[in-house]
Amino acid sequence: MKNTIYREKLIHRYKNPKNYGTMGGFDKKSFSHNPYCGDEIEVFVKIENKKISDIKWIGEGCVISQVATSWLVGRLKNKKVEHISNITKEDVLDMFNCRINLAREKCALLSLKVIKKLLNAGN
Amino acid sequence: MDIKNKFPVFDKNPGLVYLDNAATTQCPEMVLETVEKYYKSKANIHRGFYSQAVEATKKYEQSRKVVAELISAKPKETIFTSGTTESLNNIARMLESDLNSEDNIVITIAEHHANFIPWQQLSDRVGCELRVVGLDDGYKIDLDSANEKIDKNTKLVSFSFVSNTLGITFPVEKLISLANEVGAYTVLDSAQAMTSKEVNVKKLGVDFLAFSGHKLFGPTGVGVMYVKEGVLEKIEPVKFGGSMVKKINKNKANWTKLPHKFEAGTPNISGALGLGKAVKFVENIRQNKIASHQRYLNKYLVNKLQEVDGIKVLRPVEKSLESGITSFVVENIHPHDIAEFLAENTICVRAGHHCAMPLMDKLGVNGTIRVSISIYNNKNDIDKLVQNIKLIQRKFY
Repeated sequence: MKNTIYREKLIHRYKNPKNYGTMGGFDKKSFSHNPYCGDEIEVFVKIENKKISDIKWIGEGCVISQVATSWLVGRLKNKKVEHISNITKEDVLDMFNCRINLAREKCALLSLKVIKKLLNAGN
Repeated sequence: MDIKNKFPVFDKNPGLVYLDNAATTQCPEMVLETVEKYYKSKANIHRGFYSQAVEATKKYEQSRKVVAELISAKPKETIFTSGTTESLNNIARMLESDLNSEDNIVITIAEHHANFIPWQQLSDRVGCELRVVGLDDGYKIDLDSANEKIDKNTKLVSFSFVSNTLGITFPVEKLISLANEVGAYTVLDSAQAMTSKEVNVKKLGVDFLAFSGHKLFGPTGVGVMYVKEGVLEKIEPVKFGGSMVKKINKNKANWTKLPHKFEAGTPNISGALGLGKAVKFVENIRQNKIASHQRYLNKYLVNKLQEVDGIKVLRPVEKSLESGITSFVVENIHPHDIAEFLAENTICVRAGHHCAMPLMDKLGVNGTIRVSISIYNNKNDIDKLVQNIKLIQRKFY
């Protein structure tokens, strides 16, 4: 079972996402929607002294898109804004510890795309 | 009937549960042999004088004859294309000069993009209105809506025989009749109907018909555009090149005879030969037997799915409209997650919008899981599918 996306750890994360919710008094927010499959994510950030002092998100969609977001948002909390530039698509895909189908990569990378745009980082 | 042993894919993949036949069907050995045989003695057609070329030409035209007979058409009305999509796009281009901004085109909300976008694009180019017939609450094509939308300015009515998503049979005869009353062209997307319906263009009286070889156990990259003889004589080709010209000088060209006038370039010869063989395969089994098997298993599938909490089957109220295609959604689990989990267990279904986004909007879903049954499926396949859906539900709920 360790090579399946649908193992207990990831499903638990999907059902109990971290840093989930809206944010009042945010500095920036960004929304993205994949019309192909209906995955959507909205991310809110508070930035103080070039640091992501708070980051939260809401969304709906498949396990891959939502778990990737939960993981990525967790990685960025309390980090410098520029840290997002260090996170690559391979980092996101590797997080799952199993092969992500080429057809599902877009799901996994939706949040990386949204957050890079939000923080004005390159692709 | 033990038909599975005729399909090599099941030898090579024991345990495979292939339920994505609306996407493509598997090829029986006889089709694969035909394609391979052509490539072992390959030649182009309608050109060479040597034996391989003559043989290839003869077989190609024989295949055309077989395919034409399947739909009760004449060979000259049966034009090989790369598939349904090319056929429908060609038809849209060929009829363009016949339309003006006062006209309207009528399609339905349940069309595949291949039978939606060409008409949307055509109406944009010409500046005419595109009218879309809806579905009623019972997932049936709304004939009242059709009656209202098809009027004296309707130039063309295009619709499917069977929905690739809901599996419903469209009221084909009625729609053709409404179109005929106003003198509109009729275009029938028959892609999903070829193994399970009697598709007789003469009885239907349709002007154009399109289907793909790979959906009736044939190879990919080949299909048919049928054009009724009376219409054929009036329209011009939209694809130009070799094989379709009678004489050309530096100023102008004129076209060769039908159907080659509409078959520019080297066609998918192996595909056409494979399609001819696939048609023979279907005729040996008999379409009504395939249809009956699909409906029987589909009913079994739907009943099983409806027994499971959290599954909503998008089933027409009128059961007689059902074919071998069924869509459903599972509460709180994304269709892609269902399909991926099934794939991990060698069960092949399709999840998503099925190239029918307008229909998804109408249904209020982002996507569905689609199961499409064919001749080599059996109750074990359905049981395994349902068992695995229950498994993934247990993980999520």
